[in-house]
Amino acid sequence: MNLPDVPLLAMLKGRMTWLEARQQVLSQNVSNADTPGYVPRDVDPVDFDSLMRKAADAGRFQGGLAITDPRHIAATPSSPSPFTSRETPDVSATPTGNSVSLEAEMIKVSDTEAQFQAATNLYSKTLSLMRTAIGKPGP
Amino acid sequence: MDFAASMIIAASGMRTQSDRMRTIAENIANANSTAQTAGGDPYRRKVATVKSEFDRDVNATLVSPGRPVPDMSDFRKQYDPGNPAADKTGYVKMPNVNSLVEIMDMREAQRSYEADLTVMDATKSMLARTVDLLRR
Repeated sequence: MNLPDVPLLAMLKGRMTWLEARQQVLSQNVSNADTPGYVPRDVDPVDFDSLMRKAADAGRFQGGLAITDPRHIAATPSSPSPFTSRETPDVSATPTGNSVSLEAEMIKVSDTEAQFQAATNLYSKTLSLMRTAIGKPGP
Repeated sequence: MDFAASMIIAASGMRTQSDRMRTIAENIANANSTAQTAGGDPYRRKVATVKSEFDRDVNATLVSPGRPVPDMSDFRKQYDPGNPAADKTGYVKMPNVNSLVEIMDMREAQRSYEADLTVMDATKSMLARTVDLLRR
């Protein structure tokens, strides 16, 4: 069993990847806060339940190195971001056509940061639960 | 890695805003620069421009400072016959720089820069949290 195959850890990994993608999109919005005609984007929310089911149905290893021996370790290639984003204007466009509100973006950034913190805390908590189950005293 | 991309994007915004700040500083510094010759044109205000282009490497829209464009509005005229730059009627052409407009522009650049910095900070703390998982 691979560590990322643990359902809880896999879900948290998916969550963290999504937050990472969102942070990139928000970063792009803030950078373009003065670009004429720019409309801010946001990453579409993902239904993680269906995502997990899909991953389980499709089998764990899509592409990557072939596993011909049980002792082999799966190496999956890095794939392009599976998340889609769409335009979400913050405010009605200014005369330049730009509709980025720095305040709204700051709220989204801190929200993403807090959710990421929650995910990493849950991740380490899961690991410490496993350590408890193994019987090794925790830190 | 996506976090690095977020930082590159935020950095491109910060670079653009600091370049814009440079143009504004130039305008404010030259707010009283008259011509060297009698009746000549004084310093002409420059307007900072922002360029945005899609970067295939980062897979996002980055911003970069564009070439500053000269502001073609009329010069102010001031009656100062003793000034070496005065024309025959005793008027001196002053730069078309309005300090108030420059200060507002500066505040805007500052605000955008701070927003970029906040994103950079948030990204850094997310990255640090991920690395911290290794220590448990």
